Amino acid sequence: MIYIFTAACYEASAWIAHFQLKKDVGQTRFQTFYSENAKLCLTVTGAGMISAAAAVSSICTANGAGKGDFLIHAGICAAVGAGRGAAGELFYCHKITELTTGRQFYPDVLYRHGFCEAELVTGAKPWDTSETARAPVFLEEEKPFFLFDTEAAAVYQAGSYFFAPHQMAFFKIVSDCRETAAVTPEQGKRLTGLHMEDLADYVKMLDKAGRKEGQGEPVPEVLLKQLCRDLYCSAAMEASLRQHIRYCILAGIDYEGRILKMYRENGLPCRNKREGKRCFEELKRRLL
Amino acid sequence: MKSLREDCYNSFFSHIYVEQAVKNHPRTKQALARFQDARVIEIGHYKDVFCRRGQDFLQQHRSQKLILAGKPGTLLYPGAAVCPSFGNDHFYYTSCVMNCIYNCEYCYLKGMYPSANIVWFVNLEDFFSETDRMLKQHPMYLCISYDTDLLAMEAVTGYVREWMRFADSREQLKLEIRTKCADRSFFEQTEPVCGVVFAFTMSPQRVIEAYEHGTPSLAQRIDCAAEAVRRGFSVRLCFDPMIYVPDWEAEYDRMLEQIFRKLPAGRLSDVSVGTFRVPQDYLKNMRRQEPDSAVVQFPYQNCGGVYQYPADLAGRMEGYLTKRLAEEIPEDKLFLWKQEG
Ligand code: SF4
Repeated sequence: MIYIFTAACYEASAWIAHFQLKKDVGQTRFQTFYSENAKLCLTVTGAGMISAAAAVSSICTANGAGKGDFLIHAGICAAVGAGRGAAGELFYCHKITELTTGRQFYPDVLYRHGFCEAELVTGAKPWDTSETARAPVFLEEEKPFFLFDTEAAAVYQAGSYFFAPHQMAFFKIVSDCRETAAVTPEQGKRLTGLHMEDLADYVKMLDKAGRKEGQGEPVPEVLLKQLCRDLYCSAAMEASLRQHIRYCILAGIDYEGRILKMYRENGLPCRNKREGKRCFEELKRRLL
Repeated sequence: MKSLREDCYNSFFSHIYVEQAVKNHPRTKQALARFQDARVIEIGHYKDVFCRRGQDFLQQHRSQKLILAGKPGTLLYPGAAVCPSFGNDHFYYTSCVMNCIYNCEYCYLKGMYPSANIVWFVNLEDFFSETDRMLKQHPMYLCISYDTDLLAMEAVTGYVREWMRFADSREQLKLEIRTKCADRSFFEQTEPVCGVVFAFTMSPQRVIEAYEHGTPSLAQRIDCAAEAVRRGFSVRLCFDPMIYVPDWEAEYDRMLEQIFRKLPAGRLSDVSVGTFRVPQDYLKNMRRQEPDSAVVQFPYQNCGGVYQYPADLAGRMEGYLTKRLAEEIPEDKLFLWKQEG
């Protein structure tokens, strides 16, 4: 599943239209839209860090987000500094700084993309050259150019409870007013729409990548439980048998045949713990 | 059809993270000049990137990034109990590069480090100073290629040659450079230095194909080791870790035959043998990272905090190989790893 988080409805509308997402009427706290086919779930968090973190943790907990899934945060931002970041330009953020704490977060940039990259700073309130620029992070470092928003650092921190750094991607589009993120809903819709094709291609690629992530072959639980009962296994013995079977599956060893043979030749189930221990040792030998 | 790698992943070192403190270091400049297309991201401390929560080692390995940093504090460490000392009293190791461009499934680095990205400590002179400080107290046997394959990184770092130059004027220092790299040109273009031993890890081709991803073939390793021997370098062969595969006797037989057809046993410095073993905490992490790897999911036995093959299997494997090697190598040159205590 790919989880998309936007702060405002107007940032979500191009995604909703492109992927034909349906509203999840069961969701009452946050507006959520989904597509079973595309395996997408889009949530509108509301503005600011608290709302963003609350939405990410709520939706990801409810859906059991984890391995093989991805988080995308997308929205409008301000661009600060000279030379780059024309209105409407889309950036992939490879470094996010939380203004209030100075903490820095680095989403992995494993997957190929054709977007420009930049640093993003997240503040508690919208960019204001007179006030925010006095914050310590900017006094310490000279940043010739950076993007500014009010959610991404919170999304990263909440997201990192569910996702590895390579499973999170942050996209920001520079607002029309450039040095403030203030946009009208119409502008927001238009700016997001400008890049929807590229973003959709990226989503497709993530979906493909997610399907390749190894989950591990499951051990056949029914067989294992039966075997453990018949061998009077303790918890430690069960863990050991589980590991043997897992190895056999991966190494292409016919463990079922070997276990059946053991049943035949040793007259399993065992009659007591002592016999169970002896058969357990023999079975382990036979499995390797 | 294109593979996922071609389609999806950024290239090796597509991004370089640079600690602010070393951004003007000559080696940093050298690295950035070499990888001109890389995006450079400034960081405060290498651990801000390297030690992030929940990183996926395997995924990151598909697009490794480079982290340029300076290492403060302790730079040399006493050799670990799971590593052989080859009869040396003052056995140390150091990590001026962390992580490896190769991708051996059984590599303990996957259990030890939280990230697959490569950290290059550019302050090599500090490593030299600490080595000199220690050499004033006693001679040293120092392994410089444990937590990486330093020779495989030579084109990027040049550290093997720098260490060799350093060792050249220090009689009390013995260096071991462990490698699976098969870069013959290094040996063609470099003069041997007394006290520097190149330890080539040898594995049956079947093990290489199954578990040592991205590494040179057995034939290439043999060729390279033979070239090193021919040019007067001190060469050690490491049959360590021995990895269990079905029909392992035949696989190891074939490997030995291939090796001694090309390598004059009498000119080897020494040989080491040891079956796979790994500290328990590392294996736990490795199993989480590699749920689909047979070599990692093997039901090893925990023996005093170290996971290893069941004693009878390990004994058979080591016994078999040492017996075969003893036909070629004098006993005093054969080292078998044994757990202490
Ligand atoms: S070559 Fe050595 S350090 Fe590199 S991955 Fe393989 S085992 Fe690990």
